[in-house]
Amino acid sequence: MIPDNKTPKDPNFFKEIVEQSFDFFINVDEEGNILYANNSFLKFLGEEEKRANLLEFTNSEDSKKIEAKLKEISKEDNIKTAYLELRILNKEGVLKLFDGFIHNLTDNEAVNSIAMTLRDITSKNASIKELKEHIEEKNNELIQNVQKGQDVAEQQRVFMSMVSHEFRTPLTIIDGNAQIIQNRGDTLPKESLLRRASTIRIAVDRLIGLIERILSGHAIDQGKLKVNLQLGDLIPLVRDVCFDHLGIEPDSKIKLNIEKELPKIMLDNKLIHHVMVNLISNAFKYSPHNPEIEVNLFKRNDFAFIEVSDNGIGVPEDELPKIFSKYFRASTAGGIPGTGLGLNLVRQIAELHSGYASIKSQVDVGTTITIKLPINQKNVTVNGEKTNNLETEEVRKEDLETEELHALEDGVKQDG
Amino acid sequence: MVKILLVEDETGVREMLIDELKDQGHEVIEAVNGEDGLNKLLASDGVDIILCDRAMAVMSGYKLLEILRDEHKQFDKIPFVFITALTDPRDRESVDHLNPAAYIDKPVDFSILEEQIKKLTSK
Repeated sequence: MIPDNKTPKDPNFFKEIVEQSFDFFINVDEEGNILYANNSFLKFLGEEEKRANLLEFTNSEDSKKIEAKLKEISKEDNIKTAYLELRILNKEGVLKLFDGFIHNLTDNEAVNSIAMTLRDITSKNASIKELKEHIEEKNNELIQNVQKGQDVAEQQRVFMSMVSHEFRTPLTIIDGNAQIIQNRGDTLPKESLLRRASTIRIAVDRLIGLIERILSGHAIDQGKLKVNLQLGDLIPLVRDVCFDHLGIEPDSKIKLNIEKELPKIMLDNKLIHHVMVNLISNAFKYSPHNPEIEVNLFKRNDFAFIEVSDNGIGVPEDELPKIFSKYFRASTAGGIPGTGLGLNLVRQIAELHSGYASIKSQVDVGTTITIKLPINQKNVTVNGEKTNNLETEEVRKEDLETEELHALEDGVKQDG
Repeated sequence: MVKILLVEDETGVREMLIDELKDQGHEVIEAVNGEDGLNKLLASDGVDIILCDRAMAVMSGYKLLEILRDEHKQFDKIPFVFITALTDPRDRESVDHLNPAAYIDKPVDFSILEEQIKKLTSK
């Protein structure tokens, strides 16, 4: 319990408290002349100090501020107390920041001056400043993260919209032909019915391919895609994909150049099929003015190469490093629909075969995507630098047999 | 009989729509992208309605409509209908300011298509 507020018997009681305090106790007159200062303040200034006015211990800005405050609290009928923040030079010549109150006690006979209590808040202020900077930094980080989150959300929205688009296009073909057969199947000639059935089946294949590519992409991301490597022949695989495409886009032309002695290689048939579907459909999709592409299949050293070249819109040079990144689409792609998944999947599948995918492209000239697959898996490091460092070999056309592929009249693919 | 400009880049979809539209008794001018569509429209002596895909290489349907609205106001009265697989509401909203006459989602329900053509071309 706090004892009664009585004056202690020892007259030095308050003096000792004031003298021993870490805070400054200063009494000044209305002009700022120091009438009394406690030990802390004197120690702070140093023994050599000769100045006698408070206004001389601070910079001109703060000096004006103190002068104004002193005037303010000295006016009759005005408030007698004010908060003050000021900088004072210490004996080493360093400005320190103080805050506290000034109280006009000129009416008080015992004091008859203006009393000041000041506390050094330099380090506290520095901490606050640091804290403010820290908060600001975190705030900026947060804003950036929110922006990143918004970018990812927008990227996902565009991706979902594109996936929906890619599904709906073959569904349109299926549903449209089904409606035609349903509405007037009994009057359609037999060959028209067969053609529609074939068209529907091609569209179904397209949907299945799309689903498989999305699932494979997801499985690769999760590190869960099982690669089933078996000795396989690239030639019929590539030819099949070419003919499948010609079945969908009969105006397309494919020049297929195949090396005579291309050996069988270890491959996952289904995954390399995805790669080829992707490369061929991309080559046509991005060459709307010139639906003629070239596919080269050849061997150099210990690698089999698949090259797919178009004469299309191309990719700007500065975007080439990003072209295999997930969701990335070249700025030249404009209104052309696409998910930004395809080439990412192509590269990942090539890498799962210890191979590599690369691109050469020029805007408005065309693009070549090259897939390099090791003929003998034992000789290469899995996903290692050894395969990646090898430059693409130039194909020597004289070693290749050329086939010009066109859509077949009956729309049914030719046996490889 | 209605004279239709059909702009669609996907061969399978275009051919199927032509079959259906002709069977509904219409005359069809076909175009394989927006640019082709614009050229065919300018070369024609007018059409009653334009049916147009959105996502297309060379020139998208959006771009085609934008060019028609900006530079070829003589075609403003021809109803412009998007037939598109871009069915996300935000994709739709993004063309609202160009004021298309209708928006038909893919897959196309032929009875809806027939209804819209009838509604938009009846004078």
